[in-house]
Amino acid sequence: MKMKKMMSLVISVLIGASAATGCASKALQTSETAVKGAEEAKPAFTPGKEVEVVVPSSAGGGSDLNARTIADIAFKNQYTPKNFMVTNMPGGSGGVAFSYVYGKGTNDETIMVLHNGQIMSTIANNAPVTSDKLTYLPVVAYDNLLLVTKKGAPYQTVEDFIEAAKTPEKVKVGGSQRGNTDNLAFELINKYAETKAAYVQFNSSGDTMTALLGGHVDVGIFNPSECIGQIEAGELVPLATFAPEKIGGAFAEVPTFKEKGFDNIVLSEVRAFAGPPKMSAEAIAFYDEVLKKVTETDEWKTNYLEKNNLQPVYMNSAEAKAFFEKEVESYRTIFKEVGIIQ
Amino acid sequence: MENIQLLLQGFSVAATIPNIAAALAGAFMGLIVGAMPGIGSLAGVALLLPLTFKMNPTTAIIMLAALYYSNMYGGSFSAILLNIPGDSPAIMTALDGYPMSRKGKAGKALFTASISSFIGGSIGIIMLTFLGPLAAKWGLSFGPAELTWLIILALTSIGWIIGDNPSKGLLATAIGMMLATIGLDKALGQPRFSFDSINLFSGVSFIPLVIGMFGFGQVIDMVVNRSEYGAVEEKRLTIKESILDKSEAKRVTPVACRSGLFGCFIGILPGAGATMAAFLSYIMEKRVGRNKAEMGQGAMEGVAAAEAANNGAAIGAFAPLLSLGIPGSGTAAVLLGGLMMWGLQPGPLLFKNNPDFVWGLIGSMYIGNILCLIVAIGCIPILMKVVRVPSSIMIPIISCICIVGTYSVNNNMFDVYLMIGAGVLAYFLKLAKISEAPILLAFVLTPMLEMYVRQAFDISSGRLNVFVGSPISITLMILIIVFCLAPVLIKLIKKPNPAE
Amino acid sequence: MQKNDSIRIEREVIEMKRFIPAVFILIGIYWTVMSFSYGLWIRGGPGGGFLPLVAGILAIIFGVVVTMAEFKDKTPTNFTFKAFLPPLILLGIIVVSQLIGIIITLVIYIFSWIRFYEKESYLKSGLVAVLCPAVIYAIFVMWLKVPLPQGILGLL
Repeated sequence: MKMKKMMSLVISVLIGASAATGCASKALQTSETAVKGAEEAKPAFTPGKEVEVVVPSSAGGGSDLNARTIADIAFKNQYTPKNFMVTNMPGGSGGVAFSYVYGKGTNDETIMVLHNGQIMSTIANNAPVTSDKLTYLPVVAYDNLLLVTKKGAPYQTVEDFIEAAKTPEKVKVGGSQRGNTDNLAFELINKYAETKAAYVQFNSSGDTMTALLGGHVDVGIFNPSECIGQIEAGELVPLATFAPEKIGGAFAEVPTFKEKGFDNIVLSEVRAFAGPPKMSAEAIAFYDEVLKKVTETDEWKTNYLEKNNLQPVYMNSAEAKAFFEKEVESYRTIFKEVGIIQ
Repeated sequence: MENIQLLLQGFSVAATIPNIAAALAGAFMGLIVGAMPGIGSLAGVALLLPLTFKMNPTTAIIMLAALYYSNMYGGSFSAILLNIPGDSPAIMTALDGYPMSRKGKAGKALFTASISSFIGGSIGIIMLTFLGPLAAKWGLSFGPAELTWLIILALTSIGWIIGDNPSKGLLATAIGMMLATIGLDKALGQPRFSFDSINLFSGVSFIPLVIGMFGFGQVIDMVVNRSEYGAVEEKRLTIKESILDKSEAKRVTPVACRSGLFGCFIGILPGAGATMAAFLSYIMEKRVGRNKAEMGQGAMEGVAAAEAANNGAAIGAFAPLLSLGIPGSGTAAVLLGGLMMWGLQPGPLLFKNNPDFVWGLIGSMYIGNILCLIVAIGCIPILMKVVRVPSSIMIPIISCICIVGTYSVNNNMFDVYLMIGAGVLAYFLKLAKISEAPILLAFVLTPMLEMYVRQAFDISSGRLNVFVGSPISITLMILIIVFCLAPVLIKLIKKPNPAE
Repeated sequence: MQKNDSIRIEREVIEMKRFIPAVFILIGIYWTVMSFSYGLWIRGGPGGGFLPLVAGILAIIFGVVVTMAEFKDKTPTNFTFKAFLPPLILLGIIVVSQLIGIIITLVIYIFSWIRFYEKESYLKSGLVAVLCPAVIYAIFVMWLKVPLPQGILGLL
């Protein structure tokens, strides 16, 4: 008898508490809405449950780190009432995650880390879902690519490299994965510098680095964060960068392909987000807000961007959409030209 | 020697209370994560990483590293007790460990596994201390061509662990190869045998296959052959019974030592990891060891070889990580990311610029390894009780672990379907008396072979001379010929004698 | 009941152990045929079809060898349809879990199996049915944050 009374008491307290919290958060929401309403005259969106952040690669990679950093900063600074939960979905070179998010239809609480390398591989592999079928969300960072060779190699400048590479099959360029940014960067060189270098594909940049250091390939294509250790130690020499402008810091002296006269050999890695195809406009606006705030925090700038040698950028979802549509067009064109897709 | 001085310095860093606590915490978590089939050290490390940003980098990496190598201790638990390898290196441990369990010797198996892990890890740590950067540099000279030979060496050796029926073993190898060729090919990146399913696009995942064939296959076997799974007689559950007596220790120690050394070198090599190390070491033991006859049916040497090698390899993988900034495995890649987040630059300068960090880490490995051993042995009495659980209860429990463990790898239900299919496959294979081990080993080795051969030819522009281009290649080639021809030659030499 | 079962099984028995390697011959043939469409030798090195071809041929050769060897061997195999019980149950679990969430499904499964199939006591069944999923929940969901299916009802 006592038990039953206790139980009903506990339950009523719990119900009361949740009602109270519910009321409180609703009150908060209403006031937020009131403010927002003044701005947009649209009901603002806040996630009703944990937001699922899908990462199309395994834990520990660049995309994963990106997602976790954002989740951490967003939650700590209360930019979002509900936690961002990171879920890894590697498989199909991004295809599985893309398909999963596509299948979420009108869901507003699922977003995905979008890396242009995976946009490329889904195109190159003819995956059922390509990025144009999803909703584009903000772009949050750029990463750059470098062409790097070993110290003591026969070509120490990019001009020497291009000269040497004109002989068919003489120069071996290592990169990770196929139909990805490294691959595309390589194809751009061959096409616009009219070289005939050979591409050797590795599973990861770690493997590429090993092959380069071991002298098994002549040059490699890397992100700054992947090779900076070796460059500072003097073991590797950066020949050129694919960025539109010189990268600062340790790479201040590295010429861009553009300034050497190759206007078309420009490629950056882009880190952005995407959502299900029918995500509501309010939700899109919400993620725009949250991601904008995150990219403006000091923590993001010093602890994430700087430490990983990334370039700051922010494009809201509308700008991202325009940007990517152009990008995807250019990827398709180049892939067709070099025969990666039919 | 300078290194010893640095090491002593490292000990003083490692022996502080927070660092020891971190090592202990990492050890515990690694044991649990390692014992759980499916999710491995990768997830454990990746999840802890953000929490460690607030910590001092040295303390953080001590904890994460402890998680990583204690994972190798834990993997043997479920392999020995349930025949479900906790992670891929533990497959070889299961081959001998589980039969030992069935024979009532689970305690000894667990003890052997723990001691061998300790010995293997210790050898790895000593190697790392004195030869670390040098060994890493040596590892660089293994290019695609050399690695091709290494894989061929491993492939030819599969035949010898098959047992009595070579044609069945080769059929199994063919099955493994066929399974492995599902997925994107390395030359053109086109999907093969994917039957238009995005899930089969990048091929069959390994862990679902392993959990299905071993774990779930086990369940099906238990349901069908109930009578074989009567309560296992475990006479005494005290630690005393698990400790190896003198003769057993004599058998096991040399095996563990050489396997540990061997595993360490394999761990240093790019692209080869703890799984390869355990596999190759087991095969070596089966070929040249004293107790080859019993291996596969419950020989301690099998457990020792596999466990020493996988711990040696886990530690060995730190050499290229720290001195070259090259991660040898997924987990190492996470650690690499962590290092960068803490503002450390792994690479040749790390040893110079941050000696406290590096040697503190290495120093803590010595301590951590001992802690792992103590904790692991301490768990043995509890673990042994698992063997006593009747199969009626084990069946649903193992089934649940199989489902959840498989799902946790890629968060994809398709993998669970695969796992179930693999279990059914294992049942049919058992009926036809085709053994599973060659299938799995062929499955692991074939994609590596394909990748390395492709790379070698890309580098040499299609010329074969790349395969005999270096002393390492030639050495491996000779080893292969010796390994293959040796038994034939021995037979030929022996034949004339009885006739005399 | 017993006798009919064993006769029916015996008939399967004669077929099973030869049937299985024979199936692999067929699979091997499929692999061999498909391998040509993936390109055998590309850019101076093995193409996508090279290893499938090798694997397929090996499967055919040794499939034949093993099947023929099994014809000579007269010992019966013990095939039984009982073996399909666990796979079917697990498939059922997956389907049901999409509706009511995996943890609850597992609780039901464990309880039902131990109580009705294994015929143990209610106490034992209940105990394991609660403990096992609880531990799984603690490790996989709370600690490792694996997003296990929660079903349409959004339950555990």
